[in-house]
Amino acid sequence: MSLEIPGDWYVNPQVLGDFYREYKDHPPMEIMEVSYAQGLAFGRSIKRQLGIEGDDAEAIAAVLREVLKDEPTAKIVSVEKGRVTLRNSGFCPLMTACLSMDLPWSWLCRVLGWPFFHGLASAVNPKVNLTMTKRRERGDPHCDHVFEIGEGRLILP
Amino acid sequence: MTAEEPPTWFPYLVRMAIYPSDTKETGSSSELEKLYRRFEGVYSGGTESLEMGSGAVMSAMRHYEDMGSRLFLLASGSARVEDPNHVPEYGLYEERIERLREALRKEPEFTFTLRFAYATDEGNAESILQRYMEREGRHARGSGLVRRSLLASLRKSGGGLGAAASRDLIAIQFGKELETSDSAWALCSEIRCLALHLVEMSRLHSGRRLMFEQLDASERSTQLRLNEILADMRRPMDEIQPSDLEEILREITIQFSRLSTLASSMRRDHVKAQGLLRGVRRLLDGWNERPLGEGPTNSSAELREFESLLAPFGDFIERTEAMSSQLNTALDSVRTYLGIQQQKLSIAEQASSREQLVRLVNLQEILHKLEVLIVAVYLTEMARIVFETSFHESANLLTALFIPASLLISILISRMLHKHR
Repeated sequence: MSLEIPGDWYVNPQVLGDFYREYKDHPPMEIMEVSYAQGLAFGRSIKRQLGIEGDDAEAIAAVLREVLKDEPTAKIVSVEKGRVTLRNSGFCPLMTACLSMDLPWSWLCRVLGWPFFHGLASAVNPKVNLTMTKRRERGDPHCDHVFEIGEGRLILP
Repeated sequence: MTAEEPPTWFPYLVRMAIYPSDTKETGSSSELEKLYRRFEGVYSGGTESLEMGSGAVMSAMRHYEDMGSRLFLLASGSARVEDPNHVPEYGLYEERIERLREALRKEPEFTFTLRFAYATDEGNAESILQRYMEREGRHARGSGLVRRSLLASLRKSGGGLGAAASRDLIAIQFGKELETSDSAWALCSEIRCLALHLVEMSRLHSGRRLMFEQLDASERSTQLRLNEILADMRRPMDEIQPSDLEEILREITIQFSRLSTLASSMRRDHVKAQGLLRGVRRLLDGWNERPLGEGPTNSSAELREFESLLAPFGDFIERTEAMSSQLNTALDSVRTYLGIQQQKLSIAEQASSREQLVRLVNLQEILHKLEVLIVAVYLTEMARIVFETSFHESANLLTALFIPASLLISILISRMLHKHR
């Protein structure tokens, strides 16, 4: 059975519900790979559309800003040399979808959310690491996604 | 024996292993079949409801599916009450239960353990309870008299999987209850019902725990953003561009719709939790439990636990609704701002169009004057031709004298023409 992630999962809670019911017993690594690939394709198309050049932190921030332009709960809090920090707080769309569709929040963030963001940034630089330094699923007050040039890994400390 | 009929022997140890209903491999019919074959002695019943006896010790395993759970009731006991007024040795029964439990390949999500003891009267029942708790080093979280049983729920001795909803109980039956085992099994069935309610409530609560924990942080960050928006709105009107207002409006609308979704989804769960509380209250009311000493009864301890699990649902709804109400206020002020700006724009537009109209009228008047002048020049020119032909010598004088007449005629023609228009 080939795995298919609906293209609009991050804005459509209904498809998230269907997706969870179908793939909850699927190996998480496989779902993460597909989600990463989806983010990568989306990131590449944004890069092309906006004519974003380069592979530095500014370029990564530009792609993320475009994707999150209509999302009030996600904010790029710092862009430094080789490092971008994206913060997600408040009532985020996944939190809302999880409660309304009775889905496990942690599972969705792990298998869909974070790999997708990693894919987005990897469209700019395939060597970018995404480290989740703060995670709400662990009780932190917000999620901090730190993108740094490294070995292209998703790190959950 | 069927699943509805209770066994005739006296239970001493009952363990309820509870799994979510969609759990696979908790112990299939084939597993029970194997178990059925492994035990020696007397067997009766099918694979979903198994009863066996080996020597004086009887054992049973029953499978129930209800309220989103699969419950395996594992029981062990004796054909008759041996040695009443003594704390039983549960080791042998524990061993039998453990052998039954091996058929269930997975660790249960929640476990309810109910121990039975038997006494001739209430005083002896109390004495058994005291001795048991001293022996085990346990304390009662609730105790009371339920019909002719002294029931005590013991404080947890450790954590572990599903510890919050798991229970360790002891029921000491006395008096006439020693004659048949029916009342022991009836109590067992009521505890099973309580367990299913408590497990369902516990699942509902733990499924939302992260949301409850995150409410403070989410509320704080939303409040901060809301304060920023309201501060923006206090800026002089000229400094706020319509594009800024549009952005604020979009942001508030998104937040508002999310909070509405969160509040209504939590309300759904709250209603469900209230239904469970009602079910438990009905069951516990039926016990008509009398307190034992000054400690809380089992009913009040369970209800308190249930209410503490229910409370965060209500709190979440209230807080998200309060936030929604604030966002609604901000939304109204943005709308008012937009309305005022639109009104200002339309007043400015009206003023500008009035000015244009005045300019247009002035231009038209100039054009009329020019029109009169052109016609007068034309008439004068025509008159000069006529005068040059007829009065060659005084043509220039006559032409000059004709100029006022031509102006007059031109004005008359112009008025006549404009009247027709």
